[in-house]
Amino acid sequence: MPPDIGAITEQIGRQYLVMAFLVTLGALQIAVSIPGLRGMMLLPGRMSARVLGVILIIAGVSIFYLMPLWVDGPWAAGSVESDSTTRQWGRAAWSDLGAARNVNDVDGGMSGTDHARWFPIATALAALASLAGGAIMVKLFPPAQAGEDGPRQDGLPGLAGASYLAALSSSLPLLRRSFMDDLRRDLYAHPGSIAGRIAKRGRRK
Amino acid sequence: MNSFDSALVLWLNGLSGNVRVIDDLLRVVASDYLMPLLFSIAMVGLWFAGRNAAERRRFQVATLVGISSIGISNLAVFAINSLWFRPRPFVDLGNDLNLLFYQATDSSFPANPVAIGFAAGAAAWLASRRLGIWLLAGALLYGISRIYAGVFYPTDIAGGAAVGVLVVLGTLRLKDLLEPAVSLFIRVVRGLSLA
Repeated sequence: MPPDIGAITEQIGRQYLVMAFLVTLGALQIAVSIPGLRGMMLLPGRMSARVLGVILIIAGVSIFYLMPLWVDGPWAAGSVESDSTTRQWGRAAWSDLGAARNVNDVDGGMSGTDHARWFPIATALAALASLAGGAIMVKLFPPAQAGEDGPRQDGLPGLAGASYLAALSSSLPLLRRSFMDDLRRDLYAHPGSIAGRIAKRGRRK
Repeated sequence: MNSFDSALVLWLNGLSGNVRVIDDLLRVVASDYLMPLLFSIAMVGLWFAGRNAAERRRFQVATLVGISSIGISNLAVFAINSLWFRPRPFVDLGNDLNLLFYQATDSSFPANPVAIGFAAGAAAWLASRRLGIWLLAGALLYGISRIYAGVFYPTDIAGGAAVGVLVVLGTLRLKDLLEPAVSLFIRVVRGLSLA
C-alpha cells in the first residue's frame, strides 16, 4: 500500500541524504587532497585520498539509482512510465531503473526546497566525518612536515599538519587578536562598497 | 522562433527510442538529483581546494558567489515564470514527442535547472577555468538531456543559461558593494579553521 505523498517525499529525501553525504564526502576528499589538508583526509596519502573520493562519489550515485531494485517506492516493476501519477508501489525491475527516480514533486519527488533542506545537512555531516576521520589519521600517521604555508597557520592551512581541534586552538586566538584591526583595514580597502563609502564620508566629517 | 524550437525538439527527441541504454543514461542525467548534486559538490570542493592564501581566497569568494547565484537564479526564474507562462513541448507537440520524463507543470521558460548549472559554472570559471569549463559542459549536457526527454525547448535552455550567467555578474557587483562583509565572513570562518 503506497503511503501518502508527504511520506514518499520524506523517504526519497532520506535516500537522497545518503547519496549526498557519500558524494560530498568524496568531493571533500578530492578537494582537501589538493592542498594536502591531512586533518581532513580519510587516508594518509594524497593519491589514495583522491582514489577514495572517486570511489565514494561513484558509490553514492550508484546506491541511489540502484536502490529502487531492493527498496519499495513509487516505481513498482511494470508501472514506471514517464508520467509519475500512474506509478504503483513496489520494487523496480532492471529495465525501470533509468526512469524510476523521475518522480514529479507533486507526486512525492523532491522539490527545490527539499534539495535546499537536505543538501546542507549532508554537507555538514560529510565535513564532520572528514574532520573526525582526519583527526584519527593524523593521530595514527603523524605528518612528517607541516603544510605548504608553514607550521601553526590559522584557518585551513592549520589542518595540513594537525587535527581540527589542534588547528582550532591556534586559529581562534589569532582571530580574536586581529579581528578589529582587520575589520578597520577591510573597511578602507573597499572604498567602492556601501560600508566603505559611509566610512569615507564619516572620516571627512 | 517557435517553429525553429519545435523542429529542434522534434529532431533531438526523435533520436530517442532507438538505443535503450542511451535513453536510460540520459534519463538519469536529466533527473532532478544527479546534476544539481554535482554542481553543489563542486562549490563545496572549491572552498577547500586552494593551494595558497591567494588561491584559497579566490576560490572561496567564487564559492560564495556561486552559492548565492544559485539561490538568486532560482528567484529570478520564479519571477520570470510569474510574468510569463510558456507551455512545455509535450503540451504543444503532444503525441509527436516520445516523453522520457515526468510531465512537469511549471513554466518551460527559462530552464531552471540549466540556470543553476550555468550559475555554478560561471562562478567556478572565476576561480578555475578548468572546473568552470567542466561545470558549464555539464550544465549544457543537462539542458540537452532535458530537450532529448521532451520537457524543454532549446530557447528555454538558452534563456536559463543567460539567467545563470547574468545572475553571477550581478552577484559579483553585489559582492563588491557588500564588502567588507564578505571578507569578514571568510575571516570568521578562518578563525574556526574552516577557511
